[in-house]
Amino acid sequence: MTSSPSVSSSAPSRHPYIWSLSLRDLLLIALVAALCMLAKQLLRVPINVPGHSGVLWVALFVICRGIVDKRGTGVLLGLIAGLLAQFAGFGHQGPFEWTKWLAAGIVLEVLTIVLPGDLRGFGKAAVVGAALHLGKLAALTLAGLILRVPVALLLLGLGWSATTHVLFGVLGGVLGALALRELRKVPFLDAQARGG
Amino acid sequence: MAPVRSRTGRLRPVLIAAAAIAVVVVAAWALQAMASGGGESSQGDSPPPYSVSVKRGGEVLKTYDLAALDSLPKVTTEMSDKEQTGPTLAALLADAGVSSYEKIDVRGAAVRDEGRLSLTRAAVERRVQLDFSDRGTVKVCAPWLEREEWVRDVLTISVE
Repeated sequence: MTSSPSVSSSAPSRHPYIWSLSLRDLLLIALVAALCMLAKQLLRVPINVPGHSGVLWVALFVICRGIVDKRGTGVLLGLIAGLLAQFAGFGHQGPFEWTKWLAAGIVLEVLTIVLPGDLRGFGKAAVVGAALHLGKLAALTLAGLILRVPVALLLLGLGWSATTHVLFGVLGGVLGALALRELRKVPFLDAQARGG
Repeated sequence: MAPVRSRTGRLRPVLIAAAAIAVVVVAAWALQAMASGGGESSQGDSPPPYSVSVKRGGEVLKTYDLAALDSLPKVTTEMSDKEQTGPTLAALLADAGVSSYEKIDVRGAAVRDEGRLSLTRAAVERRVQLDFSDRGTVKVCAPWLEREEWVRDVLTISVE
């Protein structure tokens, strides 16, 4: 098993960037982005709790960033998921649909780098999951402002939405960490995560 | 003792991030409270309260806030295993003084759905109704409409 990136002494070799992505990495990112769209559709059930479909895609984001441990992967994943959502007709934010996915990817990337430890840690994964789900809500609200949706309408239920987004994000993050722990037991995926 | 200190050091940024998330959530609740308080007083910086306008040819025939919508005769219909309660669209149009029309265009905020729906008069009279949501807005729905066709956070109903 690898040690935490933050405690590694050979920093340059431990932090490869996305320009060193292999074809396998790219395929994995594209596959996860597509799975996110599928997960969002599958979990769109009428329970009237905002953000509930995030449980699965937040977990997938965490898993992807944990397996493809290269700087920029989160942003690339967000961008690909956003483009998929935009051009495959998912979501309802019109021309800004991609922004919420990209925002989630950026938050995932920044927090994965800034916070110590790796995404198999439940604390880090929970915080990253909550923050990236909240990032998506922030992008959604911003898109509403740009689309001139009445401010009163955007603010209605915002507190409730933020709370449920955080809770489902935490749940997704923890699920992602759990899945990562299991997946990293697979030699091929562990080697993948270590850039092998 | 060194490992303990190291662990604490690693935990601190995570705790700070968690605290920042909590602050964002509290701020969201504060903004929500500000928005819902906008209906009590129209002064200050509070955004205007939520309302639904009935229009014909760009001219506003009548604007309804939630209280005005609530005062209209309501129906309750079960849709998607949930009871939807609110005035029928036909009753709302009649209250707004609309007697003749061929079709209507419903526009919503388009935050959580397509935000638009066009209905003929015959369709409107097939038990299309409003429902009061937990968010403090209304949606247009009907048992025969697909759930994806419902318009949430309705803003305007334009009559042609």
